[in-house]
Amino acid sequence: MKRHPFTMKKAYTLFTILVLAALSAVAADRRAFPLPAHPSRIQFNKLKWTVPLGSPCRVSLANGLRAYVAVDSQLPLVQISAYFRYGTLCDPAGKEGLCALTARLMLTGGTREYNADTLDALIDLYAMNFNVSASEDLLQFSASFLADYLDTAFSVMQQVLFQTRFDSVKLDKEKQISLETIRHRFDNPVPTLDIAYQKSMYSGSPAARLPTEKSITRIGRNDCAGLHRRAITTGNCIFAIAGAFNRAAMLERLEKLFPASGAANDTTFPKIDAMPALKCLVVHKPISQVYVRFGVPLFKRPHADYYAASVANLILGGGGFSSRLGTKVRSDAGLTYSIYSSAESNYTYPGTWYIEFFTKNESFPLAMSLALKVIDSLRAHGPDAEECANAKASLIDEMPSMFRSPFDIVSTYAWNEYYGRSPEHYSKYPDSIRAITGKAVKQAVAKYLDPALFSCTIVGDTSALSRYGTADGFSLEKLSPRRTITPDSIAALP
Amino acid sequence: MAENFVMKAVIFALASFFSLSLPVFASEIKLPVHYSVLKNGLRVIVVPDTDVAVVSCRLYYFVGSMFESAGHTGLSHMYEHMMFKGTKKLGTSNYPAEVPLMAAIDSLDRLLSLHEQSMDSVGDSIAGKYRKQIAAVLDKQREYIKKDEIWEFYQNSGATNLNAWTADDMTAYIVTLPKNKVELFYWIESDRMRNPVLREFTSERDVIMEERRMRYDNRPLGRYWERLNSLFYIADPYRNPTIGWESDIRAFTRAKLEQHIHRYYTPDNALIVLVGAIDSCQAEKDIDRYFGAIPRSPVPPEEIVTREPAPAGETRFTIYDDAAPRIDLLFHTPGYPDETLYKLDVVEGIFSGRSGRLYRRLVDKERLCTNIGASNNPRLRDSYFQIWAELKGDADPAKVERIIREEISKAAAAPPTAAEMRRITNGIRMAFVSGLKSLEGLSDQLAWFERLRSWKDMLTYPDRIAAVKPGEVPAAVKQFLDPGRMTIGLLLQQADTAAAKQGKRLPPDTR
Repeated sequence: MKRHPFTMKKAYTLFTILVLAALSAVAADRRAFPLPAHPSRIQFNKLKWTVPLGSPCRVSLANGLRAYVAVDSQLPLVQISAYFRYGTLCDPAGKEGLCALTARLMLTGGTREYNADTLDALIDLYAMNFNVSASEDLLQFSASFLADYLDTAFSVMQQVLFQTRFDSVKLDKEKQISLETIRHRFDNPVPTLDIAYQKSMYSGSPAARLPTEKSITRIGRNDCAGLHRRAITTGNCIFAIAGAFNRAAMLERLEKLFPASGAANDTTFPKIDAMPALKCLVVHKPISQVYVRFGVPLFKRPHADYYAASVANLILGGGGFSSRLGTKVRSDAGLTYSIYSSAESNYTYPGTWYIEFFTKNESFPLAMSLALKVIDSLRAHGPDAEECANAKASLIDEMPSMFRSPFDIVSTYAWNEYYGRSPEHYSKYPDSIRAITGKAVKQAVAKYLDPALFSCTIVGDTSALSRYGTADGFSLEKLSPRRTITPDSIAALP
Repeated sequence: MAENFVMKAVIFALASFFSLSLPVFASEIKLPVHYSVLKNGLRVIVVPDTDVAVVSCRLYYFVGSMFESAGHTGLSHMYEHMMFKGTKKLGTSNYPAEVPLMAAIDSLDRLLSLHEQSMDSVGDSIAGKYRKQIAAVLDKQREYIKKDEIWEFYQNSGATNLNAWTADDMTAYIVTLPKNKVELFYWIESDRMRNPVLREFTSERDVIMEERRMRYDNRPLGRYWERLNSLFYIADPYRNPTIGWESDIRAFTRAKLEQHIHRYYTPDNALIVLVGAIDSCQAEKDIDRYFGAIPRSPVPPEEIVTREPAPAGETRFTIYDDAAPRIDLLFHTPGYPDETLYKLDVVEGIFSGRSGRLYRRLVDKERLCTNIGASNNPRLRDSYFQIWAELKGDADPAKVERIIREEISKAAAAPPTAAEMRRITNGIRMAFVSGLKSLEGLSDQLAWFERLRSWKDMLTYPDRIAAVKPGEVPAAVKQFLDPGRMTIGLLLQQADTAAAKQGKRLPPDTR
């Protein structure tokens, strides 16, 4: 089409005028709204946000299922988390690894309707992300899939959850994979430290037991099927689902999916106490860094001191670079890439409050000495008012990030109920944190983080430790009695 | 009222001329992506999401280890760390007083470096003397330093996902903030872009050495992968480890890093992506207020001309270590957006997954591997395709390799089946939809495609793969997965030699 030259010229002129107007408007805008001289001068609007409640999503179905259901049509997707009260702590002595193996086989061992290969093919064909995982006190089924395939996904899910076949050929294959994992679990220093610390702090208890080649070999099909019968029941489950579906129709589906006969909450976790057996456990690994974790037994939640300990932990080492340990040992001294502290939140048995870092061999005593001095200082003087207020603000202001989507809401509240917390837990959380005083933080540090009670686990080169063991008032000799072992011996510890 | 009118006029003008605001419909999904470019070249992508109360705020610089030459590897990563050390206004109570002290530290650091290079040693008494002197001056400087003020500002404002990362061709500074605190991101990031100060340089260099030891020296898989990658790319700077070679890190100076910053960390080489509870017009206006006056780079970023030459034959690399044994087959493929890459995505689908051809054959049937898969990795220039397998301890790596070669030959001989194509199409659709779930994940995807060519490609990428015809696949396999020109990495279990056993035993004095 031929363009009229006059019209084109007019258009160009208009365009130029608008560009100039826009440019001058922007420049005027910069002049009219001068930038704050410092971030502390920015006037933030008050956040209009309230903690979402889980109760509107909560249903108790006739089949006994407790579920949190939310419709979310933003994406053509459905997401599920199902929490079953069971966990690796329930593994019988001598068959450690059973719960994790059963979890894997639920997905890979076939079902009554589909043999294992067909099940794999079905899950892949419809791009359904199904997963079953086992932690110490939780057996979790999770899934996400395209909403188009809701019928197919529920049909396969019914098979995976309730019609599991535990094909013995696949069991054998999964056992072989477990054995390979066991053979290489001490290749890297960080997992070695995790396991050795757990052994050291919970010596002799189920929390310190590890799957071994022997225990995996002993596990048979009947063990898996028996565990599955006990754990995967309607009454033992709290279910969370969100996505693009009709709510009433979904409730009907859940009534059909879960059988009405399941028993409720018959799982009892063993009683476990944190009882450090040694002042120091050293795992010899000839590497160029020392990996260290030292800590003290804490408590089982719920506990009156938990929030004070949380605020204290954020100030000590839970708050990244600006926490005291991060500032002193990483930023000031350049001795490590990572140092942090953790006051473990554990509802099943007492957790520990620990400090972890790694550093090159020759820096070990200096880093250790600096970390202990930071703890001493917090014990002696407590936090200052500003850092206490900042830590509390940080914990409260993080909340909107926890509840971004309907699935966040249903899965968080299902998890909340799984651990027996009140439905108002999250609504009350900001006030619980605001109520923590500097005095309470200091008391929590003084009460729990007693250096005399620290138990230390070290992974590193023992020759280097002997060579560089003393500096700046710290000596490895202070950590005694001390036991030194090789990675191969860790599994044999009680 | 009048103010509102002016505001609307400004927003209209911005939207009309500085932004290309396209509501995008990627088949079934409405993704309101607003794209604009400031006068100084800073690109901005805003994706409003009214269902959340937070905003993922990410600033990407289009620089990474790909832009580093010998002696300079790891500089982008070093700057990733140094950006948290503050600016002329942040992290300090008196910046002018710091300047001579930093210069004094630089001089001492130069002497220390010369001494260490000449003595080939890092720990003698003279070096110790220099280190003490540096520490003494640093102590003086610390009287003016407000430690980690940037981190603290963010953290005290309810930040989550606060961090930074560096890759081959991109570096990102990332934080997710409550929706009422986004201005903090504009303030801090514009100040970091304009006024960075490299304080506490020497101690942070030590931190990076610790990171390197942790990631590569003391982690067998990291060590293996770093060396395999630098063998695979013989010319292309993709061969550089992102963290840098140890000797290069030791030789970093503030002057070297400053040169790197001035070249690459400018608005015309950057992209801001905001996803979450934010109004796109207001965001564009605010970003212009904060970033609009920052000048472009006086010279455009240096073009990297080096390209990977066509491989002349097979390269084979074997390393023995305490690690789960594995084999990696790497193939050179074209840079983005070559059409072949979509076909190779289909090949990835054929080989991967529990019902994929490789898993079925090598894990289920032959019982030689514990896991196996493939990945197609499009890159800006020289891309690569990888087949990886984790071997059972008693598996013969040669047999695994032979079977993988057989499967490659089969893929080169016949097109994928209809069922395979359906599985792959569903997988791509699912991956695309799942990728939109997270604000941060969506930010990274948009930035990555904008880096490659255009953010719009993110929305068409799944359709392009789905449009591949089965009959086109064998030719792509034949052309690019040529075993005669691949690089093979083998990470094998340390032989049970006496020396190896000795290393695992306790030294006599600690038994």
